[in-house]
Amino acid sequence: MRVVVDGVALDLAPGTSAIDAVFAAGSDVPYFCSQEYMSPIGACRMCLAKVGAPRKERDGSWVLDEATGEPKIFWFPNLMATCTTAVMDGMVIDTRSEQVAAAQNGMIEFTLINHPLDCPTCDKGGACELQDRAYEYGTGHSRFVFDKRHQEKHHALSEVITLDRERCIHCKRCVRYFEEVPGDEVLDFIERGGHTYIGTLEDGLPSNFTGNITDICPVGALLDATSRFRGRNWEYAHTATTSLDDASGSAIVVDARTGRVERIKAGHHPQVNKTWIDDGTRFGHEYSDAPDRVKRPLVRRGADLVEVSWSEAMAVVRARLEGVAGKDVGIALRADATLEEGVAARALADHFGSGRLDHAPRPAGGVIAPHGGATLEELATADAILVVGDATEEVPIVDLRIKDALKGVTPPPLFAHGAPIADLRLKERMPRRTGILTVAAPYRVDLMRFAGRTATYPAAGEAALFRALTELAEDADATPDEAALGMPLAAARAAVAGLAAGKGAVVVLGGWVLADAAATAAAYGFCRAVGAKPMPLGPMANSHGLEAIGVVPSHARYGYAGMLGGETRALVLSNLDPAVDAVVAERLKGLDLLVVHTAFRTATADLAHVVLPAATGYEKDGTVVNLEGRVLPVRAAPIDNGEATDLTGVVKALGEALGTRLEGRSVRSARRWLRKSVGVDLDALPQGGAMLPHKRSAPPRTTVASTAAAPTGVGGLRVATMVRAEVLDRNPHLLATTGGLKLRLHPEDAVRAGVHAGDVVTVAVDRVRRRLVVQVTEDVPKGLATVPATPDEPVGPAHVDLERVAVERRALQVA
Amino acid sequence: MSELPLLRPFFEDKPELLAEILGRYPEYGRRSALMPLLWEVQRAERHVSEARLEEIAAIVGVTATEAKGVMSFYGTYHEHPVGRYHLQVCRTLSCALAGADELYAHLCERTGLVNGETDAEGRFSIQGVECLGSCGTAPVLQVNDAYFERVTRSRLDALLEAMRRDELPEPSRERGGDTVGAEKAERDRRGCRMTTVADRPKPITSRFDPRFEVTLYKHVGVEGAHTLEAYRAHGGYEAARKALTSMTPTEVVDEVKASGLRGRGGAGFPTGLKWSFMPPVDGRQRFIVCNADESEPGSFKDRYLLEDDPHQVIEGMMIAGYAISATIGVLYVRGEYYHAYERLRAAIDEARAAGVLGVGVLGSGFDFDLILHRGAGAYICGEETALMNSFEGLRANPRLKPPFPAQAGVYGRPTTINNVESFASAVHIVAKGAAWYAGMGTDDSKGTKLYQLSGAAQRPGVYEMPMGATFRELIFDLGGGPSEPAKAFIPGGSSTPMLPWTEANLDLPMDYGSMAKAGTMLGTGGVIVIPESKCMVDAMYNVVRFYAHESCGKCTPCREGVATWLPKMYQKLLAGLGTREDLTLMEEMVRNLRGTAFCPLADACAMPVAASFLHFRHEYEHLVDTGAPKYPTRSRWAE
Repeated sequence: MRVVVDGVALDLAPGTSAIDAVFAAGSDVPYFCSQEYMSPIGACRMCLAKVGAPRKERDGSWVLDEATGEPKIFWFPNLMATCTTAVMDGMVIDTRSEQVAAAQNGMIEFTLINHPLDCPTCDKGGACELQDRAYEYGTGHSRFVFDKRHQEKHHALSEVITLDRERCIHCKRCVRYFEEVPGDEVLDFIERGGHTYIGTLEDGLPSNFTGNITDICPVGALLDATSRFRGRNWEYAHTATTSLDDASGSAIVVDARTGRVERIKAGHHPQVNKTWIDDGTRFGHEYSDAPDRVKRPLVRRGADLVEVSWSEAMAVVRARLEGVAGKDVGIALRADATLEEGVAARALADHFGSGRLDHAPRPAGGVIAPHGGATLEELATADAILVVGDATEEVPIVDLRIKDALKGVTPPPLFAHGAPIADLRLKERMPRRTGILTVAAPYRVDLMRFAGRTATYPAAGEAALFRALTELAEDADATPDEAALGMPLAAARAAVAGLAAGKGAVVVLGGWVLADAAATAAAYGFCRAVGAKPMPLGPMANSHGLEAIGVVPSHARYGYAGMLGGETRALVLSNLDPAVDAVVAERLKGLDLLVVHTAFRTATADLAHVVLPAATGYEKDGTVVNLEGRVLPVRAAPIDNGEATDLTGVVKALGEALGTRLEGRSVRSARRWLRKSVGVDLDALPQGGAMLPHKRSAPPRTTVASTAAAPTGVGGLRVATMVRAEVLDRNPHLLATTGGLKLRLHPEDAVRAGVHAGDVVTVAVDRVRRRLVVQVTEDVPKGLATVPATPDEPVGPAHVDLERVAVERRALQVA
Repeated sequence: MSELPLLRPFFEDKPELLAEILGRYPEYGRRSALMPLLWEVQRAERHVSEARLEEIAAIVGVTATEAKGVMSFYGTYHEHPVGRYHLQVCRTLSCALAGADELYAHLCERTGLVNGETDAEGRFSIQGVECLGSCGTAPVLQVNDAYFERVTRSRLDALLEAMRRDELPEPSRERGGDTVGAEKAERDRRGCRMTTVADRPKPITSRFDPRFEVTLYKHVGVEGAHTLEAYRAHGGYEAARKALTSMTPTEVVDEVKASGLRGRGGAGFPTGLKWSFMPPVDGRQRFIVCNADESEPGSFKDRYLLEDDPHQVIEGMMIAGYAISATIGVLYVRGEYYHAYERLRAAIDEARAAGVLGVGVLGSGFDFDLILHRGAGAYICGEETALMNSFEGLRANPRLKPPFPAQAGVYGRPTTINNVESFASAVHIVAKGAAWYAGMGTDDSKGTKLYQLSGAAQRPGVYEMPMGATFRELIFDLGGGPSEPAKAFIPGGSSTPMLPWTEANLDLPMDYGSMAKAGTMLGTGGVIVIPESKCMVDAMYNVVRFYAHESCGKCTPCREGVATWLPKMYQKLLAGLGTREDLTLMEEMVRNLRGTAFCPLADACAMPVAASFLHFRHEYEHLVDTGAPKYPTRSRWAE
């Protein structure tokens, strides 16, 4: 459609909003209520413009202007809010006339009369849409001589979000956000007219995605409490990077000031997280400044670890390696290590000639679908989805993209100015296609609220579930066991039929599936049977990448479990903490050399001969591959971490100590290797990343994966958590929000175990004693207890010893 | 020592009531039960506590936050207990002109309470409220759900005395104009005409044309007219029977189109044309909605129709439902019209019992039933899409258009919405034919119309007249002339720009075209006479205060301009602190409010203010120059 904006002619698709036409033409109108990826509502009235269009005669020809012979433009009697106006063929938009300027000025004046203008003490100052627009479109002075509206200025909506009600300009972005994006209607306008304010009766905003409202608030009304009063916007160094919090590869911006991470904001990646991140990713940054942070190398002197220089530390390594055969050296790194770190680890293993190389957690079934998996965009546009697992906790962005699919609106085309400011296809309170979604898990998971069909199958029953579903896929009249399906046969039939018929059906495979090689195989079989694409949810940020470049043992016995089983004499562990297991801890004490590359003084660090300071995910440069197989850049923010380094730095130092120059001794060197050996040029990585070429054959050194611990029969499950369990204690705000790591029990089991909701207990999970807070809920079935997984205690079945629960602190009981 | 009572869920022991309320709405509309459930709790406990709110939220399946957002939107749900006698005095323009402010001050003095306060015994609480739709019988006091009209100070004293003895007298339902059956007949017989017109033009444009017959209000004011029996006795439901059994839906639409009926809710959109906008029948449920949220100050015509002749409205909805193939009608009646609500509820029950509503109504193959829904005090619900949101149990913000109701209305389904009077008119158009209807009125305005007269008039009330009758006929011939010298009149409800009291203006025909030509609007036909003795600035402050109170707060100009800044400017002027610059500022502000807001409410406030500046700037100037108003800001108050 031909549209003319301020004299600039454009050709736009039907359905484009006038505001996007204005921006596409390089013109500008202010706006506060419109927000990318949300419904336009026309509330702030800032984007008014003069709009006209030609009219057609009855015979279909244009009504012509007698003077010019051109189609005559009929101007709308009122100025139009461009965010809620769709372009029409021949439309003319004028944003520069005096009438428009007067209206914009008038609206700014209205907007500001009750705004406190406390910019000097406002965290949003310098990055505030209202401030910018008031400068651009306001007169700079106010004619409002009365008292402004006085309201609460420090209202804690939750532990992590503070609301200043005086600053609110009622754009409704936050209220709409909760309904439209996560679907949790926990915030609303209260009262009406000039008394309207936002508020909640839901304590602490129960939603996994609350922090996004601090990003989209156009003023300083909604603020990230972790960073409140920590700095001004112009003082922050903004580092656009990729989150290492989970496998989504979400774009984030790390804001650092004077060497400390102050806050995380969502970045924009249209194909991955759009502009949303979960609260774990956003607020879980405080650990990087934890008091027990290791910033210099440490070596053991008797019972103590003492700070030394890197060269002294390396000398200890060299000395302790003497007499240790190379094949007895094991190297393991956490699965959120970058590709470059993976290369470094490989190089080190190659140097020793050891096959004992692994990353952890590494699910038995692998995380790469053998014939290619679905992308997040494919998930967001699928017409049928089956989730087996707890996607919300495992990879929260997957939860949001599924909710996109429920709306049935395809991702918008991007303009030069980005995602559409007003996508007219999006509406408030859109009907959701819940019928396309089936969610299955061993207990009630959050996503089930949005699912047309839900299934609760027996714990560790993933293989049986997929076999039963496959039976149905192959023969609709088959009668597999309902208990294995966890739902009525009719529902299962409908789900399978939906997946087989749906356009671009996707089956999301959660951690419990991947932890069991047989279940994973059955799942891929089912996907083939219904023609759906699988989406395996890897446990950590670079699970996909490390598996792809072969940071895996040369033999099943040489895996991480084997390394800890007493078969090695020297171990290099990066960011892992296996010593929480007392049996493993005993074995580690017998090693000739234990090098622990870690950011914190963990239990394992305390047993080490050498502790090397590790950079956190905000402090390293590199590359990760998200669950789709998308290669994404990780960039270091300027953070004071002493002498900490990523694993490439460790390998560099070790190499120097051992008198050799190892590949992977730096990010550059690692990339050289990747270019040569894998054929991937990471220096040419575009801004938004790129898909890793999918290899049909298994990657070089992946031979046999270790099998998951066999189900013990007693109903215990380690489960993924949105907030990373291993660092929760070092994230005070998230700790306060979540109330700590949970042991979740059915009420009857709680009675049997003699515990109450809120009790702080210690309980044995397999061989590890875990300190947890009891949560009693009917969401978990009788006989099943769930505990949070950590990298060293990964997702999967576990024995939770409810017979011997030690209550450390009783919760207050109301009779 | 009294024990803290154990709180049991309110609906725990009322499963039948709960089922009945939930059963009113379709399964996909469970949330609609939110407002009626709030009403039930408030009726029993005189407020809705947070615990009750949470209970209701869980019943209808929303978060407590959402329920709170909805509840707090409305003026008549209380968070804290009100007194056993919740005394509400309407203070909007027509009542204020009749002395409501003085009455209210008297009430405060006698009870010793201030606005919003409840006394220690929990007996009385008082609240100044906005227009209750009793402008013709002003001032009005609402005690709980009952209206006491034309309340003088002495009557108020007597009422208070009675309530102190816990004896609430029967509501005094005062009447005026055509609502007084006997007087009306007498007037018609006498033809008490004070003005003259030479020849009677065709078509009929005067009430005194012998061919004119009071139609819509024929039975209003007649004792017992609200029953099905009475309605049927004078031919009720025969028009519907005719439409349903001998006409196709298209024929009904065409008949209404041909009649020239324009929507009586204020905007005057052609009714038949609106009906024809419905998309083809596609199996989706379709709705016909009656907008009985009459709340525009100066308008009170629908109230008496609903109270005294509910079947006429039901029949009109049935005909319209048939015309647009909608089998469910929604009757949204404003919360304050409790008497009307009860009459409607009884009428619907009667109609259902008699097979007039239900499956195969009136022996036809057409199914039709009604959902009666009660509002809770929000003028904005008169805006059609806000009404739909309110009905669905959402905050009553107006919706974005398009989609228009015909595409996506109630519950996102095809919907047509009309005013009460429009439905009543449809009955007679079908019964007597489009030609009969079009035989009344002027070129662009056909038929018979309910005009309302309030303010400084001798005989305020609702008067039915043909379209095109003059203000003079209404104010003088029917209304007995102004009760004191007048300087202006508002032609169609408080949102329409006022006209100065001139001979020429009094001779203007009250139709859509003539009003547009005169720079104003016909609106709802609610004429308010403003006396010479009333300070115009104060009168306009009253109008502005109303719109400020009723702004929904969704869009910036209305929330900040109408609801916040403009009333503060008036307060400043009336406090004697205004300057000439303030007047310029107000005029500019009004310009910024025109056509910039999301819905017409801001315009509804800005237009009359602009008109007052146009015609009475000298009063504003006098006020700012001298610091004192030219005329008293208080009304004369007769015992």
